[in-house]
Amino acid sequence: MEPGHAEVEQVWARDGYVRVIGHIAGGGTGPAASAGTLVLTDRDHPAVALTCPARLTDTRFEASCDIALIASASHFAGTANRRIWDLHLTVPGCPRLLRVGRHLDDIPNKKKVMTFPAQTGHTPAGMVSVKPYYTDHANLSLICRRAAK
Amino acid sequence: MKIRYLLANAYGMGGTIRTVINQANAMAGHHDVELVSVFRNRDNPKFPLDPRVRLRALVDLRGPGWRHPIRAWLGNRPSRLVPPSEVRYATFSTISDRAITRFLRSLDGGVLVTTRPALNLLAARFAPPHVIRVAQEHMYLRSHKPELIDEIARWYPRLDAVVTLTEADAAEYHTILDDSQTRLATIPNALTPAERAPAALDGKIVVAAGRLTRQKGFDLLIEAFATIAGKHPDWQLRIYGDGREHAKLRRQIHRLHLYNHVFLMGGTTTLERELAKGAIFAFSSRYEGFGMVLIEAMAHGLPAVSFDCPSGPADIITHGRDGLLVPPGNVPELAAAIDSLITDASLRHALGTAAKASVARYDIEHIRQRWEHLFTELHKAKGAASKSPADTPSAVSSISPRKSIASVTEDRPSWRP
Repeated sequence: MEPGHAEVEQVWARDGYVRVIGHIAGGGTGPAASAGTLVLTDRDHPAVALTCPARLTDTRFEASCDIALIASASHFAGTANRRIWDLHLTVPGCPRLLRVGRHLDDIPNKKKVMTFPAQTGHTPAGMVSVKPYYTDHANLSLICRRAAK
Repeated sequence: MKIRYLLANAYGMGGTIRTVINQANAMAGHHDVELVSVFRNRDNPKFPLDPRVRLRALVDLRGPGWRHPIRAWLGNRPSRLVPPSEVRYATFSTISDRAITRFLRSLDGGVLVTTRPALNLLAARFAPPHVIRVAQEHMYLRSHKPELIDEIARWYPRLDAVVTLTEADAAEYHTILDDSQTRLATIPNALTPAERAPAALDGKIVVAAGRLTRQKGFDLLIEAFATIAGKHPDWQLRIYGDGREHAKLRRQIHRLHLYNHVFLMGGTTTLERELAKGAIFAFSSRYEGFGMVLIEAMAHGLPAVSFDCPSGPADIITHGRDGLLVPPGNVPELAAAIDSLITDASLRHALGTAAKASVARYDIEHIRQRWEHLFTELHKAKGAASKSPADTPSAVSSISPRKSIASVTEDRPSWRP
């Protein structure tokens, strides 16, 4: 059965990392541990993507991305003062990117109800804050903003 | 009997509004009931109103200020009649002073029930004496500032009755109203009539509900839940309600890294549905008038953990039988009590079953009869008083609704320059 999406159970925003833990809804990768990839796609420039390794065990996944990496990749061209990265998961044997989101509980309005703290990363161009958030459709994304220099 | 309930704002959310609307709805089948809201900021009330209850507002705040310049101007001028020591002083204004006094003086009899100190004081001062004036205390006397208690002691003796939510509070009122004719009674809040699904006692959700203000102590509950989340990571806390402490509580959740376990769910108009999803109810108030949501949670068969704060929880919960009481403000004890319910499913079921049976005493029909009885007695007493020789019909007409301006100036309180 083809997996549908990557269902988030926990998001941790601490110690310089954003860690995402969850399970693959509607499918799995087999009982043995295997490797997948968490892909961060720049919403305004879909050709730009960051990747971090994801650990897969049966239907579970877990991935951490370094705030420093995300911050340094987030250039603010011109007047733009924010950048959004959408999170997807790739798993072996599934050609499609699985959107990371939280859809399988009864809590509505995730964007407002489930919020996370921002962390800051240093870049040569100044400080950048990185914050996980749920979109209007309860998918998980990261928003990067220029923090004080 | 004609019964009028006067609320500061019937269009808002909260325990007092819910309680008063419940009372009006319950009385509607037996009497001519009117609900009068001082302010109106929405098109419709948030809580369902029986169609037999007539609703009217004295000051309509809908629409932008620039379209109503006179209202905006008067609305910004502070009230001259409400004492500054009343918690909601800032919501009253010159415009509400005018509207309330005009309304009170126009009354021609029946029962007038007022529902917060500002309105109780104004009813005592401006409602004609042939109206049966009943003041409700939805908090407790000692919760008010000393200056407000002085005003209460000065004006409440003019009222026909003061009704408290607990016996303990009635005793407090007795000490300041002991040489007046004002009758003291205690009638607790009634359960809102609703279809209540049994709680999901084998789930993993702790529920809490209330306005997000310091009074409700959600900061203490969140602190307690930090211990719980460490020990029982599969449990979550859902807090229902809106309020000015929302951002502060959210920062606390972020700081304690509880964002996977504690959720500020926002306000809901279907709290019964959300309560039924809980396995445990937590009540963390620093102080309360009664704790309306506590009896509602218990009616679902939810085992409750509550601070033993003034006033209400100790009247509602018998510790160890139909819920757990912990010393007020004691966070470790609150966490330990929640923990004991998480680890012991049979205790949850036992307390939940007892809770449901115990709150049957707050059934609306039972509470309605107590109000009915009080109003009937006050009516009889008023009838007997008006038959006294001094109160002939002509004397009654002399205290006509339209008081002269001069008598208002006499009533002017001392704080006015």
